[in-house]
Amino acid sequence: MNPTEDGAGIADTELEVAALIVEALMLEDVDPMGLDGATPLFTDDKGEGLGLDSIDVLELAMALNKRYGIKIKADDEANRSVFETIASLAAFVDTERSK
Amino acid sequence: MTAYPITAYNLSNALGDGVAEVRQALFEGRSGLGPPPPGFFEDSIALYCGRLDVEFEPLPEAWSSYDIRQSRMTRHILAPIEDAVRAAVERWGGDRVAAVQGTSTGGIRGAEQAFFYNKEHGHTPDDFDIERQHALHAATEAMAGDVGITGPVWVVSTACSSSGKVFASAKRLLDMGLVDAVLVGGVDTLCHTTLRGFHSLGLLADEPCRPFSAERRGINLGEGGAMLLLEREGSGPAWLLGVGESCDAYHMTAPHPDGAGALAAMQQALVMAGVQAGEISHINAHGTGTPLNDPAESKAIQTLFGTRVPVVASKAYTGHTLGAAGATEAALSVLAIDEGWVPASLYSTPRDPEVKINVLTERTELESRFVLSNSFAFGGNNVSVLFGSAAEGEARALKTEALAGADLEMRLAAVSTWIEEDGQPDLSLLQGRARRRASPLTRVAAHVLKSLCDEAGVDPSSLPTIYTSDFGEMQTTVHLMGMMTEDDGSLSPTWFSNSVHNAASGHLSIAVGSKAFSTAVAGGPGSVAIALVEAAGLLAAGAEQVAVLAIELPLVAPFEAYDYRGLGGGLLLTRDRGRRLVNLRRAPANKADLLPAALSIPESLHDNPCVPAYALAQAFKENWRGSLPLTVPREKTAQSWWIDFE
Repeated sequence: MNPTEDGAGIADTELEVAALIVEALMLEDVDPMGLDGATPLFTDDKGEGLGLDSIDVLELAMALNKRYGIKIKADDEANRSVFETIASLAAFVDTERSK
Repeated sequence: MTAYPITAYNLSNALGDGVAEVRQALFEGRSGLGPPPPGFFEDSIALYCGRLDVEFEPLPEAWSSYDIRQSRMTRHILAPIEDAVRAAVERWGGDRVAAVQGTSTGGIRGAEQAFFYNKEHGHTPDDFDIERQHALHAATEAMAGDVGITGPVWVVSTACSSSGKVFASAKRLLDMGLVDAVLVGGVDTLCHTTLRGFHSLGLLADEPCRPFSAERRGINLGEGGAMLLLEREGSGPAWLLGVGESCDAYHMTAPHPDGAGALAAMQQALVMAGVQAGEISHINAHGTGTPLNDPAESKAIQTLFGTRVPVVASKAYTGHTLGAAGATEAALSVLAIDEGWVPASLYSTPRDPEVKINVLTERTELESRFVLSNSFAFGGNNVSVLFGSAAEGEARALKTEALAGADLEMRLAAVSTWIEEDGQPDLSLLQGRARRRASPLTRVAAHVLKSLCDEAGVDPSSLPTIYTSDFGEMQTTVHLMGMMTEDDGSLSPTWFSNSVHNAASGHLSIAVGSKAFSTAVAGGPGSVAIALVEAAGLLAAGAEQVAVLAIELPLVAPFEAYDYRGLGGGLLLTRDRGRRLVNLRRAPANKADLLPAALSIPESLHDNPCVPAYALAQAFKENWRGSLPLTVPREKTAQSWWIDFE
C-alpha cells in the first residue's frame, strides 16, 4: 500500500471508490484516506497493492452495480485494465455511472 | 487393503431415470440439459440446467416429517436397488451396514421455501422441521432408517467432491472391520442458493457446457444422484479398488493451475489399488467446462498418464450435480466397465490447444479393466476413485473373516475448546484475504485448530483434519437467503463460497498450507460420533494422528428450533499417545445421564449438537473415567453412540 501522508492526491471519486472497496471487501485494517489513486487493486510485481483476487473483483462488481448502477460482465476482457488501480476504477465509474 | 464389489447400483439425472434410461441416452450421445425450471430464475438470465423431471412418491408415513424433495429424490434413486440393500441388512445385520452419502445442498431448497414463506407470513410453515429437512444428513437418515440400516450413518459434504469421498470413508469402514456393507451415494437438488451462487461467480454457461473445448464458457448445474452398495463379499460388475484424497492449499474456488492436488489424489488412488498408471483403461474426468478447471486437470492427467489414455467428460450430459457428481460419475464408470464402451464427450471440440489429453469425441468400444473417476471441489478438495472390472476385483479380494467386534482403540492426546464466553476467536492462523473472508464458523475453527496444535506441539500443515457440524454454515446460508429477497436477488460470491460445509476446511488448509487429508462431515445429533468413526478409520489406515474439529454455532432467525450457544471443540486423536478411548459403540440412549453431571458443561451448551466434543475435552482435562455418550439427546434419540474413557 502507498499511504500518502496528507491524504492529498486522491480525487473525490477515487476516495469514494476506495471507501467502497474497503467496505465491500471488509478490508478492516485499511483506511481509505490512506490510499491513493495509483494503489494497485491486485498485488503488483513489487508486492504492493490491496491483494485482491478474482472473487473480490466479482464482489466489487456487485457493489458497483448496487451503488452506481454499473453492470460489469464477469468475462469482459476490459475488466483487467478497469480493475488495475483505484484511479482506473474511479475513471471507469465516472464514465459509466447511471446513479 | 482389499477390494470390495459393487453389488448393486442405480442412478438418475437429467439423462434419465434409472440405469437403463441413462445408458440409452449415453449410447445415443443425447444431452439431458435444457432450460432451468420455470419461475426459478428471472427470464433475463439465459441458463441451461440438468433437471430430474420425475414425480416423486412421498416418504412413508413414519418418515413424513422428513418429507421434502431432497429426501424423496433420495428414496426414489434407492428404489431400484432397495431389495439388494434390504438383503444386505438381512445378511450382515442392520448394525453391520452403514450409509455414507455425499451432498452439497442437502435440504437447502426446503429451507429456502421456508425462509420465503416466513418473509410473507411472519413464521415458517407449520410442517417445516429444520433438523429433519434442512440438516445435511436428514435425507440419508430417513432412507437408512427406513431400510433397517442401524450402523454408522452420515454425510460427507465437501461441495463437489462429497460423493467421491464417500468411497474413501466406506473403504475405511470395511477395511477396519466396523461394518460389512456400506450404502454409498449422493443426491443434490437444484436450488436458488447454488444457481444464484454460481451465477455470482460468473461460472454458469448460457449454453450446454463444453468441457475441454477452447470455447467453453462455464458449467450447467444439474440434479439427481446415484446409489451404490459395497459389500465385504459378493459379485458385481465393478469393484472399488482405491481412493485418493488431497487438498490444493491454493484457493477457495480456483484449482491449482498445475493441477497439483488433482495429481496427488490420482497418484494416491493408484498406490492404494496397486495399479500402475499405464494400466488405467480410461478416466472419467471432473471436466466441468470452466476456464480454470479443464487445463489444470488436463495437465495433471498428462503428467501422470501421458496423452494417450482415453478421457471421458460427462457433465455435458448431466450437468454438474455438485455433491452428487462423484457418485454419479462413479456409477457411469461402473456402467462403462459393465458395457464395454464409453460415451462421446459432447461439445468438447474445438479442443483447447492447452489440452493435450485424449478426450474422446466418439462413442468408443473399450474393455475397461481399471477406471479412475475424478471430482474436485471448493476449498481445493480433491478425490479420485479407482474401480476395477469384476475379474480384477476378484483377484484382489482378500477373504477376510467378518470381524465381530471392531478394534476401535484410539488415544486422545490433546484437546482445545472455544465457547462464546471466551470472547473473540484467535484468528492468528488466518492472514490477509482468508481473515477478512472467514465465515463465523471458520473463525471458531481457526481458533480451535490453533490452540489444539499449540497444546500438542503439532504442525497444522501436515495434520489430517475432520470438520464436523450438524448445521454447519447455517448462518451463512440464511444470510444468502436474505440477499435473495433484497434488490435484484443477486448473491455475494464471497458469502456463497463460504456457504459450503467445508468452508472452514478449505480456508484453513489454504491458511496453514496443508495438502493433507481434510474432510467435512455431518451426522445430526451424532455428528461428533461419526467424526470419531472417520478418525478411527484414518488411524487404522496408517495416519499417526488426526484432528477432529467439531464446531456448532447458534441457529439464527427464522430457524431457531433450538436455543444453544456456539462452541468449538478440537480433539487430537492418535494411535499411541494420550488417554485411551475404547469401545466406540451404539447402545440405547439413556436420556437421564446423556451428559455426565460430573463434568462441568455449561447449561447453555446442552442442546448444541457438538456438545459431546466439549464433554470429551472436559473428560480429558478432568481426568474423568467412564462411558461417555456421543449423541445429543433429541426427541427421537433411542440409540446413542458411546465411548469409554479408560
